[in-house]
Amino acid sequence: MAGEQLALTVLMGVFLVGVATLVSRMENLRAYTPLVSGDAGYGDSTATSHKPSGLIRWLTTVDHKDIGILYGIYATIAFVWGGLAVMLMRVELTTPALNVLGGTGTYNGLLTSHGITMLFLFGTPIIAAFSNYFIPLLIGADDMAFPRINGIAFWLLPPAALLIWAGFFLDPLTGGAVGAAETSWTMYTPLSAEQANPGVDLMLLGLHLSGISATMGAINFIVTIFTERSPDVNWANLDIFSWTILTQSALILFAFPLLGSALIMLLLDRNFQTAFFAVDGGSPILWQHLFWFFGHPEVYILVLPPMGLVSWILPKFSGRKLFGYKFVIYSTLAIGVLSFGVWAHHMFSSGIDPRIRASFMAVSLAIAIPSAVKTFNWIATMWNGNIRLTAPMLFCIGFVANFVIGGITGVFLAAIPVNLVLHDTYYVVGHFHWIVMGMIAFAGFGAIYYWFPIVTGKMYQKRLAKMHFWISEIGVAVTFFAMLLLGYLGMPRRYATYEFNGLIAPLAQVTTLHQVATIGAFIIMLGQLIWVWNLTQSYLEGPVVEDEDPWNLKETGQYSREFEWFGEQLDTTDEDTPTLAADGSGEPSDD
Amino acid sequence: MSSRTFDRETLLDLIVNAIPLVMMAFFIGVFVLYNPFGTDLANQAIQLSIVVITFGALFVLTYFSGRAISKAEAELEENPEEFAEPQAAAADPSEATTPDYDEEEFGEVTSDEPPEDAAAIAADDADDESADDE
Ligand code: HEM
Ligand SMILES: [Cu+2]
Repeated sequence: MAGEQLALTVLMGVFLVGVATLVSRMENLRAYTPLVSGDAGYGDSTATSHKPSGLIRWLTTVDHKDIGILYGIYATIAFVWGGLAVMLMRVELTTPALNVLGGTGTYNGLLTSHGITMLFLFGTPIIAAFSNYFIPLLIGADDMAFPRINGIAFWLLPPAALLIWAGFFLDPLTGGAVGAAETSWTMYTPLSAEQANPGVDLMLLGLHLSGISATMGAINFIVTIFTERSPDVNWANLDIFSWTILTQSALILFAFPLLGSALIMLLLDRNFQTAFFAVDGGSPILWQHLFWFFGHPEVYILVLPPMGLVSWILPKFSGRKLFGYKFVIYSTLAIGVLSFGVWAHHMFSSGIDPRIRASFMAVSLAIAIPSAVKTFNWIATMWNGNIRLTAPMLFCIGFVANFVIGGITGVFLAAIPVNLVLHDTYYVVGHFHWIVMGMIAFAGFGAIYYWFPIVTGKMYQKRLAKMHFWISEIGVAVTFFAMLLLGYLGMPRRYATYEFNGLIAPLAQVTTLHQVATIGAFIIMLGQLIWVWNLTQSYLEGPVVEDEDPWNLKETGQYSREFEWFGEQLDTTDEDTPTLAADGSGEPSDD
Repeated sequence: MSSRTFDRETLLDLIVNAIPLVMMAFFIGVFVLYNPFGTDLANQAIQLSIVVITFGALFVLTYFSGRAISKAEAELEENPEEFAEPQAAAADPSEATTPDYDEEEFGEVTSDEPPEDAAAIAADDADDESADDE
């Protein structure tokens, strides 16, 4: 049986390779020049000087800097939504029986929304915010290779969010006929195939849309980095952030279309009686394979660019160049490849063949090496350096520290015997939150502070920024250590309540740890309130930055392209214009 | 050509990917030699192909990226003036707006190994000393 399937798979693979070769040999296909590229794209550089004003400008913009800002605002809104969802869940978990949400259904809906929102609507877009704004500046390109596709890719996201969140809005309107999806972010079958709620279909469609958007963005970045580099940038001096975005884009190109196909199959199963993932059809395990073949690369899609940001910013405040620039590049590429060979470490307890489990364990252990190499490079960069503890630097250091814990817990989980004990407990939740909150969000904050002067022309309030860091780091440690411990005690994840038999886990300790985690979550929220306040107020009233080198990078020879561009903007801006708003790329001035 | 492309420096850089490759090769060996789970050709084939394919993919990517980067480096060394990076030296803002940076050296910002190795190391040492002094 397995042998036949294997033979069929190989046959199919050979067939597809054949098709690909055939297609690539068609002359006329090669000669086809897409209309959107080339001249049309460059026309934009003149268009930017005549941007319409007000709302129309933001709706029609194809300027990479404007689109970057749009991505940033979008991601922030999603961050607020996902954050509020999780705060409600944490309150619900303060005591075993507390029921503030009026039923486990609401909890499940919030859990699903939190996961999907944070990964697809906050994580990917916040990275796209930085890459859109800064990659063209860093590689010396006029704009992205396909500015209009760039615009389309962004504008697919708001409808995606509306669809993903639709269940919440439609629930009261339809009297509960359409509700929030309760599938969790992994959408495991048969549960997700059998829930009749149309809210699930809407969510799947929204996810599909966000995948299309990510794929369009990825193609755009690959083409931009390959073809639009200024002549003095080549593979040996391409900046490290661009390298990570290039790798990320390649991962997106291989991972997201697969998610899209799997989602369509799930939609067919739900609505057209197909049996791809039915127990006596293709089997629910097929879903897990397809999902995690996308899902594990996805976690690296989310973490590689933040690693690039930190590799870029951390040396600036260490007073020396990144230690082992090429080590970091090669390990980035290695992570990219290896991340496609580890997916079944999420399925160790699903009853798959033990031989296959062993293989996935082997590759999962191998992927820890390039990750560790990066950590040592960051530490070596700081070693004996002239460290300046600015807010961006604090977030970078926090990032490295959090990665040590997040990464090592991951390696433990990749060991089959450990995994069988800890799978589906809070330990897993703790593991990936050290990474997604402790790294991805932290790198985002660091980069926002670092580039705040370029984007807004203002300086943020340094005291508040440092408070933001310390409160967030303490909150992260409190919340996610508590979760690791909860996992050790055997607390299963994804439950709205924990009134269980004392034989499963010691209830008193579990309750205390849940309360600690809830307190930690409120600490994190406090930090983020400070952040939003700081950025809003500084944008409106902060001191105007007139120095083209606000971070004193010239002193250590680290002045780089994006600040040089900033300097040019400062020079060309009229004396009497209050904000420089780089060719109008600040937010619409308060008119 | 290839001996020059993959010189000692480049090979040293590639060590970083050699470690996971060696790990996977080790596991391939283990899986071939030691099989506690009984014979099942299809599953054994899958077991090996997962590690072998990942190994192959990493090997190929490392080879090509190593080659591309090392060629690019050679280019940089041949005509450094064309590959300048903005530098601290560009203190004069009027200079910063001119698109070419002929007088400056390349590469300090991103690469840890600019062609002027000696100069870079000296700069590093200077940093270290100043840090020690504090
Ligand atoms: C050192 C590398 C890493 C290893 C070896 C590793 C290993 C693992 C393993 C084995 C699991 C499955 C645990 C279980 O459900 O039983 C897991 C879960 C997870 N990891 Fe990692 N991890 C690593 C890095 C990361 C990174 C960088 C991220 C995020 C950017 C991440 C995000 C996640 C997520 C989201 C899950 C939970 C998925 C779910 O079940 O909902 N991991 N990790
Ligand atoms: Cu994984």
